[in-house]
Amino acid sequence: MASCPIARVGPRTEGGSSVNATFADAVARAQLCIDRGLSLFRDGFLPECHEYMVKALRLQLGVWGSAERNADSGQSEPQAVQEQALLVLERAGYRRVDRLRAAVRADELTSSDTLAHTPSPDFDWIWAEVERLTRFSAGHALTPRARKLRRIRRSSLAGALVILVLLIGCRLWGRPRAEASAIHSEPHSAENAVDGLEATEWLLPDGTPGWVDVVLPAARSVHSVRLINAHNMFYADRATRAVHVTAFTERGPSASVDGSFAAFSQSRSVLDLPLEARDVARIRVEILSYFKLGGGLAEIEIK
Amino acid sequence: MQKLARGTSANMFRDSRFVLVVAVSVGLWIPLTHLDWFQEFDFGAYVVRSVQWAAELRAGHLYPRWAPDLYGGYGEPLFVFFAPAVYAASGLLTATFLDPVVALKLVALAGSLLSGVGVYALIYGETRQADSALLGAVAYLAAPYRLGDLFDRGDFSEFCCIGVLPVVLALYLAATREARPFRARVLAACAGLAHAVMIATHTILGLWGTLLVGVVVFVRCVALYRSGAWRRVLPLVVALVCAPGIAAAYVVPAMAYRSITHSQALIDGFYQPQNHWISLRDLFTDHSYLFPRNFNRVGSLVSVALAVTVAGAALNFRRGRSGLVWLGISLGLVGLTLPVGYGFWRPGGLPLVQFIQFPWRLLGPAVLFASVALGIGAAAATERRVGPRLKTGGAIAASAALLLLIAWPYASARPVSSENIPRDSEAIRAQILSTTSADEFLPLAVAARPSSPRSALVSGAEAATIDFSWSDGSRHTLTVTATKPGVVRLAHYGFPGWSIHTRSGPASATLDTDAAGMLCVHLPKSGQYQLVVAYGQPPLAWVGFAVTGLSTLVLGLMLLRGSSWWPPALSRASAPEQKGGAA
Repeated sequence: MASCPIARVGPRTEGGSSVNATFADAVARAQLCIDRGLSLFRDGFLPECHEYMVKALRLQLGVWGSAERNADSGQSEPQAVQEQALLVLERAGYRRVDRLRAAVRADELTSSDTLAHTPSPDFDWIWAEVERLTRFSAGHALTPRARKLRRIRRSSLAGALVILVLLIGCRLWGRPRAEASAIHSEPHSAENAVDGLEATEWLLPDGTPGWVDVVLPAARSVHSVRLINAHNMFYADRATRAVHVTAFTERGPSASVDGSFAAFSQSRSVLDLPLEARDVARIRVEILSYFKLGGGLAEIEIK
Repeated sequence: MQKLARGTSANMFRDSRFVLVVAVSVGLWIPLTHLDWFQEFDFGAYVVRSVQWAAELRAGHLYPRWAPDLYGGYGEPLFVFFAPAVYAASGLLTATFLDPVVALKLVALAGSLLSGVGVYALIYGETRQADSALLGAVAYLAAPYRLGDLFDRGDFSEFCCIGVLPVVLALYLAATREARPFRARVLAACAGLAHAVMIATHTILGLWGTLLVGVVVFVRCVALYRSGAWRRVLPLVVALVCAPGIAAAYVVPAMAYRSITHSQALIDGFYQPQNHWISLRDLFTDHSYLFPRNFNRVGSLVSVALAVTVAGAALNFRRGRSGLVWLGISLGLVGLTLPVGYGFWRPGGLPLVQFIQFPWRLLGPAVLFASVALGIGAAAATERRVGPRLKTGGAIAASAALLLLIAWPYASARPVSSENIPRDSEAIRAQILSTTSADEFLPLAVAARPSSPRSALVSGAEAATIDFSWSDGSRHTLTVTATKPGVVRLAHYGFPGWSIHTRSGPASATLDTDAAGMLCVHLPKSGQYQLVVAYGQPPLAWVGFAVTGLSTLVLGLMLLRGSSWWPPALSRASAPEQKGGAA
C-alpha cells in the first residue's frame, strides 16, 4: 500500500483535498476482509476471523499513512506508515487514537500461533477499533457529491420525521373534538360537526332533542359561534330549528345564547350567534327543536 | 472459499426473492381489502377497543388504561390488562387520520409483512441462501394457523405477535453471528426492543415467545462460549433480560391487578385448556368440532418440514443439523396441543400455563419453527448438489405449490357489514358493550354487567345537589353543593387508578368504592365543591414505568459501552506507553 500512485490521498485534510480512487479502493478491500472475517466468525473460526480483521486494520492504516508520506517519499517502513496514519487520523478528527494505537500494538504482539494456543483471546476490543476505523474511513472515502447526497438524504429524512410528528401532534391535540348526547347512525357521528367538511353531518336520532359538545384543544376566548345546519344530504328530511349555545370554562358555564334557523333549507343554511366568553374549554350546542324528523348540524365554527 | 461466496447480510434485502416474499405477504393480506368487515370470533371487538384507545388518546392520555364507554358508560380497566401494541397503532391511526376499520387492516398488513420479512431474514441469516429463505418464508406465510388467526379468528394481536416473533429471533441470532462488536450490540439492543414489542402485542404468546426465544438464544450462547467468544454472550443476556423489563409498563400492572378482577373466568369452564385439545386428525383434515374452517390443519406443513429437514441433515449434516433443533422444538409445541400434552396443562401444575386457554395457540410458533427447519433443511440438501438456477426455480415452484395447496383454502374471509360495529364513543356508550366474552376484566366488586347504560354521570347523591357535571372520557368535572357531610355516587366502576382533585371547597373530598363496585365521592363538610375525578394510571403502573425506564437505560448503556464515548479500560499489556508515543 505504500506505493500510492496519487500524490494526495485521504480526504478532509487541512488542505481540503478530495477523495481519490486508491483510498476508496483500500477501504473497499478492507470491508471485503471484514466480510470474510464475518463469514469465518459465523462458522466459529475466531482466530481466522481475527486475521482478516487485522488485515483490514493494516489496509486502512496503510492507506491513511501513505496519505501525506507519498508526496515526499515513495517507499516507507510499515511501522512508520502506521505511525504516520495515526497522526493523520488524529488530525482528521478520529477520536481516541490511543486505543487505535493500542490495537496496532496488540496486533504486533500477537501472532497466529499464539492466538491458536490462547484459550480465550480477547479480540473484541481490537475488532471494535477495526469496526470504528472502517466506519470512519468509509465516511471519508465518499466523494464530495456522495457526501452531499448523504447529507441531503439524512436531513430530508429528519425533516420528514419532524413534519410527521408535528402533523400527528396537530391531528391529535391541535383540533377540537366533539361528543354528543346521541347519534342517528354510524356515518353521522359527532366528529362530523367539527371536521371542517360541510358535506358530513352530525344527526340526532329521530324525534329526539340532544346536544353536541365541542371540546377545544386549549382554553381560549370566544366571540361568536357559527352553526351550519344539516339537512341529511339528498334525503332532506331533518334539520335543526332552535338551539341554545353555552360556553363552559373548566369551572362551569360562563355565557350562553339562544337562536334559531328561520326555515328548513336544502342549501347551505348558516346561523351566526354572538357569544363572548373567556377561558372557554368547551361549547355545548343544545338542539331544542327541529324541522321534519330530527335535528343535526353540518358544522360548528368557533370564532 | 465456497462458504465465503455465500450471500452477505448487506445484500439480503436487495434480492428479487426478498421482493417476492414481500409480494406474497401483501398478497395474503389482500382479501381484507375487498370487504367492509369480516365474520370473526371477536365480533368487531378490536374496532371498539381501537375507538376507545383513540378517544382517550385525543383526551390527552398517552397510555390509556380505562375504556370509559364500555358497559354502557360504566367503564372498564381494559387496557390495564390488554396488551397495548396493536391498540397503540390502530388507536393512533384512528385518532389522527383513519377510520378504525381501515386502521386495523393496516395493522394486519404490518403483521403480515413482519411475518414474511422476519422469517426470510431468519433463514437467510442461518443459511445465507436466498432460495431457502424464500421457501421457508412462504411456508410460514402459507400456514393455515397464521391465516386463520386473521381471517377466521380476527385476532389481530396474536396475528401480529406471531409476525414479530420471527423478527425477534432473526435479530437475536444476527447478534450472535455478528463479529463486529458495536454492530452486535446494536443488533442485540434492537432484538431486546422488538422482543418487548412482542410481549406488548399479545400477552400469552408474547410470554411463550419469550420462553422459545430464551431456548434458542441459550443454545446459541453455549455455542459462542464453546467457540471462545464468551464476551459476546453478555449483550445477548442483557437484551434478553431487559426485554420483559421494557414491557413492564404493561406487564406489571396487568399481573398485579389481575386478582381484583374476574380474571378467574379466563381459566374456568370453556376456557380451560383441557377443553381445547385437538386431535392428530385435526392436524391433517378439514375436521374440526370447534371451527367452521379448520385452521389448525398444519400437519401437512410440519410433515413437509420434517421430511426436508431430515433429508437435509442426512445429505449435509454440518449444515442441516441446526434444522433438527428447530424441528424438534416445533414438534414439541405441536405435541403440547394434542391430548398427550395433558400433563403439562393440568390444573395446579405449572404456574400461569392455564392462562393460555387454548393450547392450539402454540401452533403459531410451531409452524414458525417448522418453516425455519424447512428452510435450513432445503439449504443443506441443495447446497452442494443443485445449481443456482435450478435452486431458484425449485424454490419458486415449491413456494407456489405451498400457496396453492396449503394457503389457498384459508386465504379468504367471510364478509359482513361493519355497520353494526359501533365506531364512536356515543354509539359504544349507548349499549351494554363488552369486548370480552367472559367479562373477565370487570372489577371483582362488580357482580355482573349492568342491565342498562348509565343515564348520567351521577347516579345518586346524599345531602348534596349537583350544580354542574361534565364527562370527558375518563375525566369528570363536578360542581356539588353539600348541605351537610354527604356522598355523591358516580355511574362509574371503581378501580385502582381513580383519583379526585378538589379545586375548591370547604375541605378535600375523598373517593372510594361502594359495595357494588361504584365510585363514591365523600364530601366531609357542607359547602360548594368543585371537583375533578379522573382515571390516570393505577399506582403499580408507576413501578412498571420505573422498570421500563431502568431497562431502557441499561440497554442504552450497553450500546454506549465500548463506543468511543465510553470505551472499556485497556489492559496494561495493550495500553500505549504514553499518549502519542511510539508503540
